[in-house]
Amino acid sequence: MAGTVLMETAEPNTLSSAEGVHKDFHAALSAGIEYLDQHYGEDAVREFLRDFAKSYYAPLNRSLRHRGLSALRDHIGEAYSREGAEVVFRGNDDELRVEVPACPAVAHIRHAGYPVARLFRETLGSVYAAVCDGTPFAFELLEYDDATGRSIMRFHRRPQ
Amino acid sequence: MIPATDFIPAYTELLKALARRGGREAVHDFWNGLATSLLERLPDVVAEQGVRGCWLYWNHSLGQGAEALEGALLEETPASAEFSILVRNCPHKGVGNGLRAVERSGDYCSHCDVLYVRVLRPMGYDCTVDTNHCDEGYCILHAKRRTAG
Repeated sequence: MAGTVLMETAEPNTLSSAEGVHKDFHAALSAGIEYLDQHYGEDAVREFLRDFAKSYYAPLNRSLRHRGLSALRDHIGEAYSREGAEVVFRGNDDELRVEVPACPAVAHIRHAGYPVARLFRETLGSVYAAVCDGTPFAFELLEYDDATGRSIMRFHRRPQ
Repeated sequence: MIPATDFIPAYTELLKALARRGGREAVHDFWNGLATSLLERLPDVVAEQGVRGCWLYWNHSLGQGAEALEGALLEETPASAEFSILVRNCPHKGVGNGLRAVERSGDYCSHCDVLYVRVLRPMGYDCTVDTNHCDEGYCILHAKRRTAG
């Protein structure tokens, strides 16, 4: 077609984040969590996140059963690293503490001027509880700061 | 944190949760809210750059899945100001076909029709979304600026 400009995807993406990760997705997920919370309550939020984790993170659940806490350490480390955040791991084969100084998702949502869902912390609490279901390990969200997403998570071997 | 790279399956599960509790009405109500709040940059980019702004926006939106971007094209004719985007390898379908399967949401493919058309139409664009080929993993959104008179 005369006068038609075809632009392939090599065009510089001026709206993307520097890391190449589409961080506005965090804001969309936050909006979804807030919508569920406001219209259907806290249980609806937790059920949604649990269902998601049980299906999509089923391989991580299997890996946790077979490899132990190193599977979680790899998963969490890669997830935060991809979004430019460092986390601190402490522990041994029976316990893993994960210290997140600031959540990159919360940072992006706030920086972009979008609201953070009241129950955004459930992206840790409900998700990792579901990941641990049926494994020898349990999950606790020891600390969570709604303003920054700073958190301390603890995974530990369940008593025999 | 659910990583941004895991958004498509999480979003799919969200739509299913909304549909279970409130039917399609809840899904569309959520999208309408999203169009108002999260797509606030789309009108700005389109106002500044016309159809090229559309392309930039979708380049960004689909940027997570390079496989989807391979099919994202802009056809810009200055006279007609037309934009079409062909998503060849829909990330939603890719997830559905992948090893880490999340059961697909029946409503997923309607979201462009609600979200983006709602924003572009008031800006003077006639929009259509062809979702007849969703099962094959592709869809086409077409926007054409209305001419005066």
